[in-house]
Amino acid sequence: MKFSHSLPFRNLKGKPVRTAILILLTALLSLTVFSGTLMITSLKTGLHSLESRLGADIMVVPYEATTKSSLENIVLQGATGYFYMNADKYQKILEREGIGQVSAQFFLASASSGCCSTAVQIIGFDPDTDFTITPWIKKSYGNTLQKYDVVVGNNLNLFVGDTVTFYGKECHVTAKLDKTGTSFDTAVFTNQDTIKALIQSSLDLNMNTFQNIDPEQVVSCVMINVAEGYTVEDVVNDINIHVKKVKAVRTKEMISGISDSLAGVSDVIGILIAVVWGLGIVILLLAFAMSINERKKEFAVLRVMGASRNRLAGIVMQEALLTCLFGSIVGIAVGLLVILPFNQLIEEQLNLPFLLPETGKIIGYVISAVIVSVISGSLTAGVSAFRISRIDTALILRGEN
Amino acid sequence: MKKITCILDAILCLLSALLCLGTKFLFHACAPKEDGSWMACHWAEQTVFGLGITLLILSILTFVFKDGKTKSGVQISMTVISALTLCIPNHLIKLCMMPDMRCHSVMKPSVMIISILLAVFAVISGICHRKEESAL
Amino acid sequence: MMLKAEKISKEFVREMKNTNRFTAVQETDFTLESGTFTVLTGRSGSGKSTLLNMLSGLMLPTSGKILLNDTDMYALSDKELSRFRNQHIGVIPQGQTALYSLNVLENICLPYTLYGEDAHQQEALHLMEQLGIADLQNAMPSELSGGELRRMAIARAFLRKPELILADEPTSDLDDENTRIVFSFLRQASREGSAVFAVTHESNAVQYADRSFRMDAGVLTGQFI
Repeated sequence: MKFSHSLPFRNLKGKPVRTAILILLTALLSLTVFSGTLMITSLKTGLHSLESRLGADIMVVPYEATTKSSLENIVLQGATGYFYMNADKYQKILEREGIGQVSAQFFLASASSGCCSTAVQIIGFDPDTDFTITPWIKKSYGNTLQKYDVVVGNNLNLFVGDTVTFYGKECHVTAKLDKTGTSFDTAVFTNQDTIKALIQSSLDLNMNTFQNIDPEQVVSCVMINVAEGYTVEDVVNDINIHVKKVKAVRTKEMISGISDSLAGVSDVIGILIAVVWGLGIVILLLAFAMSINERKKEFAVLRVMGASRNRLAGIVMQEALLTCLFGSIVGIAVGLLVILPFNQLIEEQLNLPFLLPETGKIIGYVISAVIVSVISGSLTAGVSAFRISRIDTALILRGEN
Repeated sequence: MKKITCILDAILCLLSALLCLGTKFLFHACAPKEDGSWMACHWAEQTVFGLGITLLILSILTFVFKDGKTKSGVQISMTVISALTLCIPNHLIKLCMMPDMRCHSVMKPSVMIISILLAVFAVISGICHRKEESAL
Repeated sequence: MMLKAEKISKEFVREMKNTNRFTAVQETDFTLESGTFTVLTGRSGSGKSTLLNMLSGLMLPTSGKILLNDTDMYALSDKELSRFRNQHIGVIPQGQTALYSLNVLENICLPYTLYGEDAHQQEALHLMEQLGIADLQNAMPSELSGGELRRMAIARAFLRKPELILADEPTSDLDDENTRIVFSFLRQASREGSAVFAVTHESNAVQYADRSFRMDAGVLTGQFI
């Protein structure tokens, strides 16, 4: 017997409106659980990626950078901007106790460049000492960067081989980084030689907000990993007390604001999933019960024709399985069709690091969301199936007269 | 004509209209620069609008033609044009450099979803028209 | 084929009234044989349908047992009894008994398709022809009149050529013409070897029957014609 002729399928087809409502309901359930989970995971992946990108215990910046509250904006939110301190601060920091790995970084924002009117953040690092950016670049690019070579964040509409001009200097895109879901996706990375040349060029063109700086004598920030035997707290305090006009910040503290709001968003999504599921399960229970109730007589007739009690329950369960399976696939398709293409917009609206997990994981979520929806939908139908398997056929058949 | 194919054709009509009006008013590309000049994404928007008009005319034509084969032919061309529309933003015509700009975050995904839906519905409707034709 | 009901009775517990127990069918011995058309008449509420339901294996008697070809029906498991009913008993229940998502032909073929067997459509069409509903095979039950629906239910009950046919008020709500068609058909079936048992309040059903019984307040009184 062909599947399309099977009784459960025909029952569903025979009542298109009822079937459509049931499918919509299960679609809603799977949509919430799937997109909710995907959102929460993407936020967590984003935060994790941000943590590993910052990759240092302490960040030391010029004091005015913290008062302008630009620091977090630049480092975490992807705003463009720059600040400088004298390179002798770097030397002074090196002399402090408890310093393990240490490396200076240089910031510069491009003026409206290339095709579009928005500026990009350029981050320069010292290839000899760097321990935060290089390991990450290595994943995409094995060679060392030459002068005027740049590595671009994943979200920039630039590709390997492209040439991009900053302050009149042509730079070559040699690599494109993996997506991180953070502000680093829109930044450009280069070595210190290149960025010093670019800073000089911006000064020459009179386009830098800082007037009297010597690119060879400044750094923007210093990244520090604490040496063994010292606590991050101690080193931060030590630097803040002994090195003037700088501010040492624990990177964990910078992120704590983000992880707090992430926890908040996750909670909201969690509650939303719970509410939708709570309501959805109740409605499904009622919907299945009603759908069975109005067909009691049909089930009694099947029983008369020799359907066992288990067979009746089986028909109910098959109907539920079909509806839930189809519904959950529809729901997940909608979820995928919204979240994947619009992930950039979601990231902007949430203003939190947002990194979609890799394809394999997403497929895993799709499968689990289908399974969860089908199982819970079937469980609600199970109540009706149990009731229908206990019907008193004789009583129902009499009932009409 | 069966009710279901009629509904499918109406959906195609609505989606094409949404593509035309949407690219102009709902999910348009980036605004012009301060000096009034347009960025590359504007031309992508214009092209999508043009293709949208074509799709809209074709979808209206399916109601005008009586012959099932002609209808399904029109829908095959709609499928091809929808696929082309899908490729316009950033593949055939480059969009802006920053991903957080409107053309990337709003226009591209919207055009993507609508043209995928258009292609899918056009294929289904085309098959339905063929089936109806052979059933006669 | 021989159906033997030995000392069966049925009591119901009434929850609403103070009298706890109510006897629908008093202790009765009863047999049905192949080739005979048996009619049971009586007023509504006299226990006719209860007896029929017990015979069809849908209602466990309070006492006694029912043997069909020496098989004790109620000693079987639900699965076995269901399959047994499917293969050996054709039941025409009261009222409209169509499955509204299937067309008429599919409804009639259900006794086979329910167990995933070949639908036996030719036989179904032949029955439909005999019952005068051959042109309705693709119609949906909602488009049928009461008489047509009843004839559909009859065709369905006869499809597997069951040895025992039990009909509960097969002619209620039917006009004289349809009543005549139905009773002639039941009689014809008995001539072809089935044991046919019809419960009805139609007094002129007796003229088609080989045996007729009457039931009053759960007491069966029999007579042979």
